[in-house]
Amino acid sequence: MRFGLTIGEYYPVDSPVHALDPRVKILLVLVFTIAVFAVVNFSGLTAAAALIVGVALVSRVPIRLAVKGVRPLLYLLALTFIIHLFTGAKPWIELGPLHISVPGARSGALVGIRLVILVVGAAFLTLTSTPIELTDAIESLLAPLKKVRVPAHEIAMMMTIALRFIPTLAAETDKIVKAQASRGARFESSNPVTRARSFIPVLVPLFLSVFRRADELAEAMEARAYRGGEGRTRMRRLEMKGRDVLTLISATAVFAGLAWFGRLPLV
Amino acid sequence: MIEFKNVSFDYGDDENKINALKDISLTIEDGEFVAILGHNGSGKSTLARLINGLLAPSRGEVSVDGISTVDSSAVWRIRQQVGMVFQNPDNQIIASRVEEDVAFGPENLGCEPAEIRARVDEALAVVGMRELAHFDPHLLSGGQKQRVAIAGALAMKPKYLVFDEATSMLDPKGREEIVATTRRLNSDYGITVIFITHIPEEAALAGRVVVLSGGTIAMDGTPQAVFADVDALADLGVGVPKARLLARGLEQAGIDIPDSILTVDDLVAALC
Repeated sequence: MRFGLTIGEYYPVDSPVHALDPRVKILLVLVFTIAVFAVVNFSGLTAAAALIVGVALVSRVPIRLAVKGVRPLLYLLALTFIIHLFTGAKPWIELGPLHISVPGARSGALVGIRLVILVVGAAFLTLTSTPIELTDAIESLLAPLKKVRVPAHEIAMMMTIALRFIPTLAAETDKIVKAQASRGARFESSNPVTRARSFIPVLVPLFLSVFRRADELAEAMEARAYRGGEGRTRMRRLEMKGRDVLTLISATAVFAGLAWFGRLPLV
Repeated sequence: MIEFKNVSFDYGDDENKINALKDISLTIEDGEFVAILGHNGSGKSTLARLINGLLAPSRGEVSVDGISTVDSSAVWRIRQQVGMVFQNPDNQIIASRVEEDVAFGPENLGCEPAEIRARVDEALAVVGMRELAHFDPHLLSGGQKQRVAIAGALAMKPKYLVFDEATSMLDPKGREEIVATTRRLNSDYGITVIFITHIPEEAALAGRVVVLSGGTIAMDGTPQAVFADVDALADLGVGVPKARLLARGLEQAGIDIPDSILTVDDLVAALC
């Protein structure tokens, strides 16, 4: 059972993708991203899309949940496409006063589809891993970088605390908004300036409260003998199983194949 | 044994100094259930933070089992020995899953994963939260959150537990849950409890009541002895349990009733 706010909306079902070590999933998203950027033809992008559909089927996550993530990008996609359309090379198609570049249309479509594929593909990471798993995975993946002073433990602790306080602060914001609305704040005003200004009386108490909470939390952490990552152990330890290693290797090979296929002189 | 020897504590710099505690001497023996009763600004929260070294005394010495809290090499050992439960249930839970939060203390102590698991399961069982181990804390009631906080302290296997107004933000049901839990920890598990509160009814359940007023100890004794003098307590701004007030009213009205009554249960037993 899982309720409440989570980042990226974890979709709780049992599947081989869900059971995969979250570190493998993060690495595979990185490899997939590189592979998709290497693809320069539409056949390659079609193949990448087919791979995503395959992952969706295996993970039993409805693909529309992953596609939802594209919606906030629509303006960016449209803008990218239009810029490519008018700034490409010859030959040009003249439509009245408009000059449209043929290779520009092609590269615009490539870039747009590539972005959609990346966003949809990456969405499966958060759809199939809980925030706690992701935090552990990031701490574990960054651990070797401690030698070059990457604060791996601190980053993971910040993520943990952020995840813990998102619902608390969301509830508090809601309470303050209602309190200020009942005192006449004009959140619904059609004038954007009035609306923006009405949020100042929300932000001020919210920030004060956040600082107070941070103080108290720091004290509570100290009282529980917290002294940073030094000498600290963890209850759960991620274990890379044979299946995880196998998946990592074979999927990397598939993505390499995708990159190769995507660079063939096809359509 | 927790010992305060002539302890004073000042907040602020030399110019606007606030003298929160003035020359306090106090000894808490192992196994005791001590309530520290005082109204706002009496110095009771300062006293709590001195016990586990969150604050260092300005003058005098605080020691836990003979080790001074200012001894920087022993401070982690002291924090393990002295668990603490704070007032705001939301601001002391670190992780977004109950069992993860309870594991935080033993993780900081560097315990082995299997040992942490065992401690977490046991601590959650003691406070009756085992079924909710996988829940997100923000979905729990105030009383449940405080029980998670208690489990978090218990998982460090402390000898002493300090409750700093741990009930003041709870509803009556949550308050009852926490008070019952603390009493059980003291009687069944032998944990020394220091229960800081401004509520006389809660203090009346302790074995010993220390009344703090203006940074000094105004009274120290059994609840019966401390709450006997209703007027003196009113002067100190702390009041007495309502059952005690009612009993005294009945006594003044000429009804024969023992003056040891502190709780509603006592009252029921005497009257019915």
